[in-house]
Amino acid sequence: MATFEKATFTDQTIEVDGNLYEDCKFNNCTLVYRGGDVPQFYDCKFKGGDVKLEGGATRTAEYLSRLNRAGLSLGVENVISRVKGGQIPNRMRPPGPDAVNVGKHYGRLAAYIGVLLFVAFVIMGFFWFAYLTNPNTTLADSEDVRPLSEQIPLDIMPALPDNLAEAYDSIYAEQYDQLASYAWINQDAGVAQIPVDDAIALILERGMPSPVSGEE
Amino acid sequence: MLTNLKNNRLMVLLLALALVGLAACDNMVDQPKLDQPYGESEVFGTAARNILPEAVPVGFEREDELFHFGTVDGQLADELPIELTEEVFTRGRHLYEQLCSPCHGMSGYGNGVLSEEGFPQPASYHTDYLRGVQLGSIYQTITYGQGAMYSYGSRIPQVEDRWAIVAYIRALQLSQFANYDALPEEFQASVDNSDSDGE
Amino acid sequence: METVTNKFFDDEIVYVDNNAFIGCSFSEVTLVYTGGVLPEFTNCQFDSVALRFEDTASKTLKFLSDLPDLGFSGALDDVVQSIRAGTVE
Repeated sequence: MATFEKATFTDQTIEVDGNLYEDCKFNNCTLVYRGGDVPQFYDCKFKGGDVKLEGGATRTAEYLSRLNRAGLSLGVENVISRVKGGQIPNRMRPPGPDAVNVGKHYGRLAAYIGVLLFVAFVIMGFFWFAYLTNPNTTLADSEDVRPLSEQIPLDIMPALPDNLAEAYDSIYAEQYDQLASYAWINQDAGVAQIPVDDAIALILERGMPSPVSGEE
Repeated sequence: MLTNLKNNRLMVLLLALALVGLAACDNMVDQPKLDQPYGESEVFGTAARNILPEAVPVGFEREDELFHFGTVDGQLADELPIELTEEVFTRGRHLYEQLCSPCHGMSGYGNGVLSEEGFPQPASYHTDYLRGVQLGSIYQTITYGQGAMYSYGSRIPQVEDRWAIVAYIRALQLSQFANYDALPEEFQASVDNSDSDGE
Repeated sequence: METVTNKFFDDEIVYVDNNAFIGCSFSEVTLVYTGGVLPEFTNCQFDSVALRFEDTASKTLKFLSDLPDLGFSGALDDVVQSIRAGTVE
């Protein structure tokens, strides 16, 4: 266990097992590790250089390689990722057995869904049949052929004439007549009725009539 | 260490992941906020601020007072904001006969078909009072309604159309109250030849 | 080197140093390597096998894991590459 402080190594091959290096510089050096006590480096600087494994260290790497070839590649990859991540494995398990083969369950699932749908349709069929045969809900022809205004008892309905269209037509005819004719309103006062078209023409010619007197 | 290319790629990847991971930070979601419109707010009273009484929606500025409200300086005005042409009267008559005649009658006597059937009968246009009322007042009655008559503003959304009806109503009033002496001769002759005698 | 043939290892800890396993089955087994004479595996089956390292082997892994911090990830990658390719030493 050698300790090196503030030392500089240049172009050297250094066996590092079990050594402590503090504030050292390594320029273009080859570090050799044999599997002994892990060397410790504090505040050291490395420029160029390389690392070599020998002895037990090499054997460890070769062991991993053999495991890999023997079929334990997953376990080996696990070790490698732990090493790269800065953690040393003590005990590791390869991943578990393959995921459940879902394929063989699809058939069962489809069967379940099919049964469920069939039951749903049967129940729906019952309700639909009940709806169809229920006299209250079917669109069957009503026996009452009276107009709705008579079927629905409304006290507030006004007394309409039997033929509304005729009644309205005669009212309109009367009023249109008045709108298009000349007449005396009050002969003594000199007030006359003129067709509205004439009134429009007068307004366009003379402007709006002044209030009350009816004069322009 | 920075000269080692593979280290750099790892750093860049970690940085990218860290940036993505920032998106998971949802601290700003949990912050005090006014998310209830009627919740209390120290500054505003309620979270949803009240609209100022002077606020007007875009397109509803209504700057022309006479045109939109029939008033000048707040007083009902007896003038038309639109130019009087024959098209105005035609439009006014068309709309009147559609919208107003059911209650007011074709000539404005208030004897529309609806009033025959139980609807409250409107006042006849042909009274001194209504002949003397301002044009702006007629406009406001159309726009805002009066008494049993509800507002027709939404049914006649174009303001020009309302003024056209106002003009036509004046024509109706004149047609039922023409000063005989002021009429042109041919009109006078027609009145003379009519069968009515006038009460 | 001890040769073990057609043995079925079940739920036990096996120290693999200096052993040649031929046609063996390992189920729920922990393989431990200490860094000694390299074991050989020929035609073996593995099921739920854990790997454990002691002594020299564990120190080696520790040393290797330190390399990136020193700036020698390239060297580490070379070792990993050789393990995967089967070209160690």
